[in-house]
Amino acid sequence: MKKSTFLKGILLLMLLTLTVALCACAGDKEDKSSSSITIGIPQDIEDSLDPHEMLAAGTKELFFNVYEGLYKADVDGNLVPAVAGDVVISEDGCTYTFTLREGVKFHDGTLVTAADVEYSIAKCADIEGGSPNIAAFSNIVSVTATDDTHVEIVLAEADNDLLAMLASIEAAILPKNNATPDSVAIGTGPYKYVSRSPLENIKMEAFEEYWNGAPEIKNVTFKICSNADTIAMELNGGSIDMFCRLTTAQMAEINMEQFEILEGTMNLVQGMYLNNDFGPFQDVRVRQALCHAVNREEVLAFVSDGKGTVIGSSMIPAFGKYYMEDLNELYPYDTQKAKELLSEAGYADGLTFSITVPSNYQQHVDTAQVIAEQLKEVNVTAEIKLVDWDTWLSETYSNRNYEATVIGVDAPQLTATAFLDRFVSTAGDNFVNYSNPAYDENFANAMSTVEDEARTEYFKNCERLLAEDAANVYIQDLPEFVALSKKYTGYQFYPVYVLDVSTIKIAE
Amino acid sequence: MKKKTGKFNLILGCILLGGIGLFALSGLLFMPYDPEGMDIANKLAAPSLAHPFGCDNFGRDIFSRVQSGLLTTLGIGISSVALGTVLGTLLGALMGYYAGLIDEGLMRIMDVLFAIPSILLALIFLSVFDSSMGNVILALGFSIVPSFAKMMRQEFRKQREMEYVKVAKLFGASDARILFVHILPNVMPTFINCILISFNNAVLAEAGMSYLGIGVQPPKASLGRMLSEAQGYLTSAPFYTIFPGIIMILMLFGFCLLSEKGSEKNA
Repeated sequence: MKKSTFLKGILLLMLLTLTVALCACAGDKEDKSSSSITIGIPQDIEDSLDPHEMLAAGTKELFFNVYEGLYKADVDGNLVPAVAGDVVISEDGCTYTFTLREGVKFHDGTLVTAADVEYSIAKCADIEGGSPNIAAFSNIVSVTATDDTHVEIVLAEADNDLLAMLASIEAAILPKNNATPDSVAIGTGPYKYVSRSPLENIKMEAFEEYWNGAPEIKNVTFKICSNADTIAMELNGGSIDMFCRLTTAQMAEINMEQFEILEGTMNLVQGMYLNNDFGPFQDVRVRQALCHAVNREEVLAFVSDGKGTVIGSSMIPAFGKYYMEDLNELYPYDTQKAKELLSEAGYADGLTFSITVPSNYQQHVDTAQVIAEQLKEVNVTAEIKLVDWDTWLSETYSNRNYEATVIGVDAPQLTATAFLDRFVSTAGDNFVNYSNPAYDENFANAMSTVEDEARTEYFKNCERLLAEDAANVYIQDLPEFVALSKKYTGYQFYPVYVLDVSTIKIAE
Repeated sequence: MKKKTGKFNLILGCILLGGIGLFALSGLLFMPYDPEGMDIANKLAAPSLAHPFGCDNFGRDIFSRVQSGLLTTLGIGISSVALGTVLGTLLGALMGYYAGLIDEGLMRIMDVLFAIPSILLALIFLSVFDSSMGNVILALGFSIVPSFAKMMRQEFRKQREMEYVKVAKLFGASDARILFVHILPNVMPTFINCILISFNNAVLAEAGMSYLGIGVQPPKASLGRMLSEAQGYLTSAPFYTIFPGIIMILMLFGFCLLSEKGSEKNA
C-alpha cells in the first residue's frame, strides 16, 4: 500500500515536470515564426553602438547588417557601391566625387543626404581633431557636400585604398541628426538594430525600405552562447539555428540531419601575440626561438583536425597579391635552434611567461594549451590564464597589460593596410607594442605610393619585417565551419570578417 | 535497525574514501603517462589496455589526468578546509565563549557574509585577484569560515555553562586552555562533522569554479576542469566525462555517508 502511494507520488511528480517542460517547448515554437532566425554568437557586445568607435571584431561583424559605408565589400572581395551610386576620381587621384544613390533611407525613415555623408566622413576622419579612427584617414583634407546628392572628398596624397577604407564599418554613414550614435544605432543597412539584453541577446529586424530590397528573414536574434562547451547542445536542442566558427570537436557533436556544415576560412591571423615590451620578449632572439619551438602543423592537427592554413606573417591567403607564402618557411619547427637562440639570449635555464586567453574562444584556448605543451620541449614554461572576453578586451587589448596572448586578428577592410597598420609603432591599436623604424618607414612609403606594384612591394617588406623580427608567433588562418539549420539556406562567406544575415533565406 | 544502517554507512563510506585515497596516493607514486603530455595519434582514443580510461582531445591519458586531477582537487579541498577550520573554530570559540560585544560584532559580520552564497563570495574574490591555485584555496577557505564559525559558536556557548568549565575556571586555567584543551575535545562530533561537510562543499565548489573556467587553469587537471573540458565531447567520447565524473561522485558519496554517520552520533 505504502509503496503504491509512493509510486503514484513519483508518477505525479514526473507528469508535473513533463507538463512544465512541454509548455516551455510550446512557447519556444510559437515564438519562432517562419521568417526569424536565432544565431549564436560567442560573446556579448560590450562596445559602443557607434560604428566609428567599435573595437571588437565580434561587434563589427554583427553591425555589418546595420551600417553601410559609401561602398561595401561583396562576397568575392570586390567593392560595390552602397550608399554611393557612383564615383568619379580625378586624374591625380586626389579628388573623389561621389554621387549618392537615389532613395537610400536611414532606419528612422529619413533620406540620406549629402550633408549626412559629409558629417559621417568628417566624424570618422576627425579632420579637425586629427585623430581619425583609421590611420589612413589622416590623408583626407576635406569632405564637402557640393549639393544635395554629391560629396567631394579631397586627399592630400592619392590613395588606392580609399574606397576599401570607405567600405568598412569604421566609415559607415550615419544620420547627422543623431546626437547619441553610441547608444542609438541608426544606419542604412538591411537590418535595424532593435535591442540588446546584456549577456542574453541582441535583436535586429528587417529594414523594409532597404535600397536593395528588404531581406527575407524578418527577425534576427543573436543569442550569446559564451560557454563554448554547450554550443553543440544548443544547436541540437533547437535554441539556436546557426553558429559560426565551430571547432571540429563541436562539429562532431552536431546532428547532421538537422544541420548543414559550411566550410570557409575565418580570415583571421591567429597567432600567439607577444607583448614586445615585456622583458624577455624585447630580445628578438627570444621571439624567434618561440617561433622555432612551436610546431604549427601539430597545432593545426590538434585544434582543427589538420584543416586551416599555416601562415607566417600578418596576412592571409585570401588577400592574394599581398600574401607571401615563403614566409611560412622562415621558422621551421626546430627545437635545437630554439634552444640555441634562447641560450644566446641568456635564457638557457628556461623562461616563464603567461599566455592570456579569452575563455569563450575554444580554438584559442586549445591552441594555447598545445603551444604551452610544445614549449616545454625547449625549457620554456607558459602558464595559461583564462579571462573572460571583456577583461581581455580592456586589460589585454586596450591596456596592453599582458605577456602573451593567443587571439585572431581580423581585417576590417579589404586592404593590406587593415592587417598591417596596427604594427606601426605609434598606432593606437598596436597592442603588441611592436616598434621598428624600418617598418614605419616602409609602411609610410606604401601609404604615399600610388603606383600599385611599388606599393605592394612596400607592404610585402612590412610583412617580411614582421616575420623576421618575429613580432608574434604566427600560426594559422583558422578554418571556419558554420552550422546552419536545414530550415535555412544561402549563407555566404566573405573575405572580410562579417556575418551577413541578409543573404540567408528560408529553405524551400 | 537504524544502528545497523548507520554502521553499514560508516563502513561503506570508509571503503569508498579509502579506495579514492589509495587511488590518489597511487598518483603520487606512479602515473602511467605524463598527465599533460600530448599525443596526436591518440586523440580521443577509446579506453584500451594501454589507456584504461581512454584519451582526451589532446591525446592525453585520462587515467593519469584523473589521478593528477584528483590530487589537485583533494589538495585544494584539504588546504581550504584546513584554513576554514582554523579560522572558523577560532572565531566560533571566541564568539561562543566570551559572548557579549565580541559575539555581537563578529556575528553581524558573519551574518553579512552568510547572506552572500559562498560560491559567489569565492567568485568575487577570484575575479578581483588572479585565479591561481593559491587564491582558489584562499577563496574557498574564507567562504567556509562563516558557517563553520556559526556552528562552533553554538557548541561553545552550550559548553560554557557546563560544570567542568566552571571547575576549570576555579582551578585558574587560562581561557586559551579552557577553550582548546577542555571544551574542544567535548565538541568533537560537531567539529568533525563540520569538517566533513565543508570538505564536501569545498570539493564541489572547486569543481564548479573550474567548470566555469575560473579556478584551476589549463593544462593542469582537476576533476571539475576535466568535466568542463569533457562536455564538448559528451556524445563523441562519453568516456571522457564518465571516468572523472564517477570518481567525483564516489568521493562525494563517501564523505556524505561519513558525515551522516557523524550527525547520527551527535543526535
